[in-house]
Amino acid sequence: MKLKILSFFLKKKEFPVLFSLTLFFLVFSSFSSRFATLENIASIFSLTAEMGIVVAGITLLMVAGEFDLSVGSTYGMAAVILVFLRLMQINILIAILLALGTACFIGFCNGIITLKAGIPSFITTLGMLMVIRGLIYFITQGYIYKLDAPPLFYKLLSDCLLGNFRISVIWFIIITLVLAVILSSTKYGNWLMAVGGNKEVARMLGVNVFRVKLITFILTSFMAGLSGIIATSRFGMVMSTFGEGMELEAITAAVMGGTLLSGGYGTLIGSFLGTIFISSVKSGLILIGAPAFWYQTFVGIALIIAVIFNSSIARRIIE
Amino acid sequence: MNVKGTLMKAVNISKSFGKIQALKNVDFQISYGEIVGLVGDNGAGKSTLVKILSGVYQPDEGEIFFEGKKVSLSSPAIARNLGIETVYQDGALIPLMSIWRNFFLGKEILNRKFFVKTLDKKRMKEECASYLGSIGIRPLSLDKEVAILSGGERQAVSIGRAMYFKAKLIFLDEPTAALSIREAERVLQFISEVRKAGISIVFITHNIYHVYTVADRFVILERGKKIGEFNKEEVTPEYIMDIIRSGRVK
Repeated sequence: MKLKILSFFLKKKEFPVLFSLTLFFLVFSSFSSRFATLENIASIFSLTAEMGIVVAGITLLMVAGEFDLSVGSTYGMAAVILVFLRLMQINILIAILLALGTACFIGFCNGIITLKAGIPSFITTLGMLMVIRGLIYFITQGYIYKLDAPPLFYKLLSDCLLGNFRISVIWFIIITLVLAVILSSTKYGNWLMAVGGNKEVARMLGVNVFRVKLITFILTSFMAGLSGIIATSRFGMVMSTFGEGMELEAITAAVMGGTLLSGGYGTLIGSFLGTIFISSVKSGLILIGAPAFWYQTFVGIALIIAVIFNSSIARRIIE
Repeated sequence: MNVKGTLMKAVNISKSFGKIQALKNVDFQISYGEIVGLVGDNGAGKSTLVKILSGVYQPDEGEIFFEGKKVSLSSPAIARNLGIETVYQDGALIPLMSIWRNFFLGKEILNRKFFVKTLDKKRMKEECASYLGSIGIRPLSLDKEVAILSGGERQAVSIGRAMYFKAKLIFLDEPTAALSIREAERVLQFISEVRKAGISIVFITHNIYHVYTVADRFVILERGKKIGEFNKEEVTPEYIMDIIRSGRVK
């Protein structure tokens, strides 16, 4: 019976990240009494929220068997568009819609180029990462620009609700739950898993592979844009490096959460936990007074261990 | 055999991939309730013909008629809606998806919750369990990934899926190729069940002995051309093998 329960948990996609997260919390709580406090957990969640929204989008794309390395640039571009439109006195709602529209357009271009030209999305989005980042540098000229927005904007997107606990965490949780339901309980979610699992079989069974993938590219960019807007409201400004390096952290969080790099298999709840894990590492290392550069080493080791776990689970299922 | 007239007819089908002519002016037809063995060597054009008749490829030339009407099979979804299903060698299933999700893939049952259409998981699982049970397949759990099924079980799930969706015509593309002798026998038994249900079948294979036991008629392709067509009583398996080997009708 005990073995059955253990085997049930071992086979869950979320198990490696849940195990790592628990272990990490236990170890770091013993090193620092401030680590497992409500205040610190609230601050971990608040730091996580923006990254988590990007991770949620990229998880769906990875389930569909594709990548998006341009999420960091899309995040930065949406923020830049919002701030610049506000500088031009454009209505905040229109500015948000145009910033999100631009993000969707980037996703559309990623999708169309990848699917029509038949090149790997890794390459398309790597190119897009550079194109958009270059545009951001060109628009901002390397300067910092302050955001001018009505109080309601900050209140709805980034204000603190209770202590360090920001409202963006609520958005993060809602988005994760909505996308989790979409993935597991809608036709689109079913088709997403199918095109990532075997796109030829999916096509032969009548699934519109092109449309499913294109929608997912757009959705991923939309999430990156939304996250960029939330981050701008938290910082109250934008700069040219906004979102740089985010893409690899987002993919790391998704993979740690049990999403397979090969596609067809993934979970939003796992990605949620993966994002929390990465933020916890940051916070934990700071609290125990470790030098900041240990962060990447730690995340790297955790990523490799998680991937070993994930592939062994997938292999066990296939065998 | 209970032949009641032509179910599908393809006339003058040609298809090229770049400079390679995969099919050249091929005519093909199948009647209601008939089992046709589509045989030929590697590269004969069998799979290309099946993919054209199931909407995966579009022909360069030729016309297709289904139940007397001219049709344009521009996608597999259109073919499936007409009642044309295809079962491939690997069962056309997604290994990391659960059995019930695979069973209904492309034809999911939906219900409306809070103005949103969601999967009716309960009904899909019940229907899948009841149908697979009725044809003798009882997997441990429908939530298990298809990867845990044996090759024969995967074929059975695929054929069962086609029957569940009231297919009028099923293309079986090398259904016994990767199976053990016992599993192949089980799939052949399955095909007999399908015939009893009055569904037409096109059985594509290398193994003439497998198709000979169940087919009513044989169509032989060679390098993209139809080189022979025989009723079962006119030929022996050895004779068909001889034609495939030599590439011509003696």
